[in-house]
Amino acid sequence: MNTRRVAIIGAMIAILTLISAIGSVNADVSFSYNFTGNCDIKANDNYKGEVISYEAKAKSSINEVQYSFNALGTNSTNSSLYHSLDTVKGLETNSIFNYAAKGNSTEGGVMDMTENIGLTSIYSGYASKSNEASYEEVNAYSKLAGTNMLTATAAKVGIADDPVGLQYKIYADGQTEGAWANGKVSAGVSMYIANGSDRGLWSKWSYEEESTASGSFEFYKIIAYTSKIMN
Amino acid sequence: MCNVQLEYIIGGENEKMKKIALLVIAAILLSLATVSSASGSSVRYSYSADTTGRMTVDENYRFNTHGNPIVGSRYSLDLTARNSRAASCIHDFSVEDREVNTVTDVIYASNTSKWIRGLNIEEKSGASVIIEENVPENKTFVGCSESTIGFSARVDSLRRFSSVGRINNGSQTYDITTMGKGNFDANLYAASSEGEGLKDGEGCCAGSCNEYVLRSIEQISSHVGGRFGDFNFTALYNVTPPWT
Repeated sequence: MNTRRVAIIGAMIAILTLISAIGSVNADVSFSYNFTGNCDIKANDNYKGEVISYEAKAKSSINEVQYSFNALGTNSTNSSLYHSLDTVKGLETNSIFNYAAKGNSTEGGVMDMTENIGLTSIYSGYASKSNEASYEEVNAYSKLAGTNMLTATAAKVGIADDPVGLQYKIYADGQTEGAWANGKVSAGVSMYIANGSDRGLWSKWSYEEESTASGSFEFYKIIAYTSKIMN
Repeated sequence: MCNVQLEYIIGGENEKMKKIALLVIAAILLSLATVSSASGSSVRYSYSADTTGRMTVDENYRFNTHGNPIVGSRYSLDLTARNSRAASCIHDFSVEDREVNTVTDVIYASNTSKWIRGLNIEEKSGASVIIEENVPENKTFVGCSESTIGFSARVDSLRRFSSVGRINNGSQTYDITTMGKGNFDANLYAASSEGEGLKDGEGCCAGSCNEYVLRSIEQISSHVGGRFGDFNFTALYNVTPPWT
């Protein structure tokens, strides 16, 4: 009997580089769905938004956000999926995937969920007095596998108006004996930032990290990134 | 509109037993259609159809303006119910001042003792808008948005499907509530872009720009579906271009 319990609480990354307010907001697209039942589930959401700003010839920027959500469940005795997405300012999503399967993992009951969120920005002329371009790329992700779970995720990306940045939270239950959550969960982030300096020199910075739990677990993680690229 | 034909096929336990069909009993079709104005600016109709056999509904609506802004609306409903002891469709459709409103309520319970069963629902709506507008600093703003939202199911056997839809001036909302058994899919696609219009290198050219500079693009797609199980599914979709 696998009684191994992995508890990972807290992982916060706050990177302050530079701040810029740019661009405009496109269409407000929002949706939410709630799916309950004892059934198969398949859901797939994809989003891509890009804001191109030309404040002046020497000051232009491109901010892009990508998001994908995939959820899959097969026959179970109890299953539900809630997902919401809103693009009022950048992107904001919430999801709750609740899944149960009778018996053990060899008798059925599968749940699989992957979520990816990415922010890519290119700035020309924004980095101090240099005309050199600055670049930032941040990708956060999570992967979950079944069979009995209760998970929740939240993602937020701003590419206009308020500071450009990304937040991602994931929670998977299973803290106590008999509680839901079973095997395998991982969440991580990769970042690459390159800034032009006052004298045209470049500073480059990269970071990669992944947390993985396997077994009956409680898993909680927050990833946050705030851009501070400014004139 | 709504055509109702009654037909059912009795499938015996013995495979050699051939189809016996075409009995017309117990069908009610209430179809009301009101065209409020011959100009096409206002159309309203509703109907209620109940059947124990076959049901076919096929509707299509398309609207487009020309000039600035260019606004488009689309709506279609394709419902087929076959071999059922109980199927009903209540539907309202109206267009007034370019605003489209739809209400659809379908109840279906297949007779599981029959080996041929059915129901196919496919409801789609779409909105689009292209706008050019002169703004301060001698510039022309250009916005473009299009979206499609749809629900489809091929069952057996959905118990109930209800939807309320609205399309207006490039925006749309779609509210779904469905429960039952079988398979279904709900989809959203939306894309928009913003830019600056120029004419021979100059701004302030709304309606006559011949050059465009892209400022932003946005694309989103969503799909959720269930396969052959019991389900309750509710969804609310909304697409609103901020500049309409």
